Amino acid sequence: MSVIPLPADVEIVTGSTRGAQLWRVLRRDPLSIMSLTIILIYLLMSLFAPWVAPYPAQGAGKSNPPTVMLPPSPQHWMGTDQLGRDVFSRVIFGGRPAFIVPLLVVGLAVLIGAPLGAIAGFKGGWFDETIMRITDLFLAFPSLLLAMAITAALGRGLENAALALVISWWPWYARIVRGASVSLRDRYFVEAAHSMGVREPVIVARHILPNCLTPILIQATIDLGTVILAMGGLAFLGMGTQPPAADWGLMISEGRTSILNAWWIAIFPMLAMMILVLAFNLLGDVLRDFFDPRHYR
Amino acid sequence: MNRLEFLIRRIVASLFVLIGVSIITFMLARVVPSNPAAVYIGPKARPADIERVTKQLGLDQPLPLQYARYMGDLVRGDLGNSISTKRPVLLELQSRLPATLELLFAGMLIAVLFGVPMGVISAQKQGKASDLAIRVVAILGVSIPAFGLGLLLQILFFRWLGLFPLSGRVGKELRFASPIIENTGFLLLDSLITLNFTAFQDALWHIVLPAITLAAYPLGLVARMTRGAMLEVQQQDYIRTARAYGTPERVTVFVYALKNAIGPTLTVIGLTFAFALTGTFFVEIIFNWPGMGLFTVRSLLNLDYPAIMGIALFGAAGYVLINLVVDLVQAWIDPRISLR
Repeated sequence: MSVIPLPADVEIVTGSTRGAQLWRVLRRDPLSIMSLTIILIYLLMSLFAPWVAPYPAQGAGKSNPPTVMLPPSPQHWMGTDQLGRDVFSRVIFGGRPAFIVPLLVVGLAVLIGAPLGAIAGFKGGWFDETIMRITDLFLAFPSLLLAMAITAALGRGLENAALALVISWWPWYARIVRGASVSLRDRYFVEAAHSMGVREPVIVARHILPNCLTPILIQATIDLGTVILAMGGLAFLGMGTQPPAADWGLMISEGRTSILNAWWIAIFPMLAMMILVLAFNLLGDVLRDFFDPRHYR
Repeated sequence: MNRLEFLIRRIVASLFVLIGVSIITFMLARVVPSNPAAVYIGPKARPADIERVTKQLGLDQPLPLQYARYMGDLVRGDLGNSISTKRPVLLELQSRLPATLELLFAGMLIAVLFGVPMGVISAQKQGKASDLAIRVVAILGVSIPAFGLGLLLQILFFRWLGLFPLSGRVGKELRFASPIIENTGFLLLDSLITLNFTAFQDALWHIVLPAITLAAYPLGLVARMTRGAMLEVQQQDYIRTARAYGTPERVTVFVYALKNAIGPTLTVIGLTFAFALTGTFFVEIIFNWPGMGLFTVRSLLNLDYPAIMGIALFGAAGYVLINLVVDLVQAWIDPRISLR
């Protein structure tokens, strides 16, 4: 009589308790709470910018000649810029292209990369080979350089810069999800679904992709900081948001010309960007520790 | 598989990647824009010019044929002419390369010289104050945009403390007082060769702030990666054995542990070289450093297509080359790798 071996991959911890576990870890870690709070505040301030900003018209780009280049004061917490606009209001409005758009960029990159990677890993063969070789080509460029070239080809502007970032970033997700998908392909629940006659697209959508969520989540959190910096870089170069709209990268570029006599114009948007990226990096570290304890002990 | 075979396989693989890279730049230059000829001439294109360039570039021919021609030009080192300067793109890049490389090497030198020991110390003192301090510096390094940090350093060290010059590679006075005779284009090297110490000091002072700005991101990554790898290695039996034998702690850590932790660190150093390459573009703008970055930005603003694609190709080639070198160095350090 042969003993049926217990499948090595029996999952005792289900998805929902895993999430609860994560929440318990995050809740106890002051740095994570701080990061999450920062991200939430940024999100709310960006979404409700016209209501939060003290000078919404200036935040949106309207100049105000009487208050040119005033240093920080109770009326203008972060001072005013060369066109007399309240820097604080513009930092808040700048969060829309500089933070909300990168969120969408990463989301879209996941939406493109994850299914392709899942199918590639699941099916293998020529499809896998093709997708992976294509990602090789994209990953052969430094991401930001590729994004610059694509933006140049499409034309400047926020939408094109965002699209360029999506095109430069989706291969990373395809790669990661493919790896996870390959390891899931031979597991019992996938085989069971197969034997029950579940069609392949359904298996990928219902059984493969949901189980790839963890690596996607970690990677997306870590990437968000990088994408925010990349978006800021494109805006700084004048490839992204166009004046008079506000965008942290663009504001830093505008502030550069008066950096020696009005430091606040460039430094506050820079701090805004740095704090947000820092929050994502801290959170990314915690997530990585939790899901992949081998990485950093 | 022996080393030579490994070397050849990696080089062949890199060649294939480069061909793929050229396909992407070709598509971006000729396929994505609705009217590539107009784009190629620049914003002031006249219909007659467009027709001429369409013929000249062979844009009326089928795409595979166009690509073959493009590829043929590339192989001969012809990246086309820059729209704004009218000179060959390759020449423009070559003349600016030393300035960018000098900055890149200076930045990476700082990142590695400080990042690796920081990571080692941090792992040694895990949980202590020095670990925390190093981790804060490392995570700040990867969170701050280079173009912002550059401005911050300019305010601090030029405006307030007056320690370092604001921008440029050398001071204006130097051109008359003790000019540098350029051989390599690396000013630090050139001034040293000709024993021009006044110029050397001037160039050194000028590179400090840009190099620190550039180093911040790679330094953070290197320190974090070294720390992680060292923590992992320190748990290994052979480290415990070394300790049990009473090997001096310094030797245990910096020889036995670091040697085994250096693999992942090297990969990161290779990767960050590429990040740093795009990083130099921003640093060059902030510090008015006459390298490829300033040229890139001007090209982007003028929609100087041949220049932009040339830069992208150049950057990707550099990236592929660096990755190749990293792989080879790793195979050299760790013989197990070449067996794979």
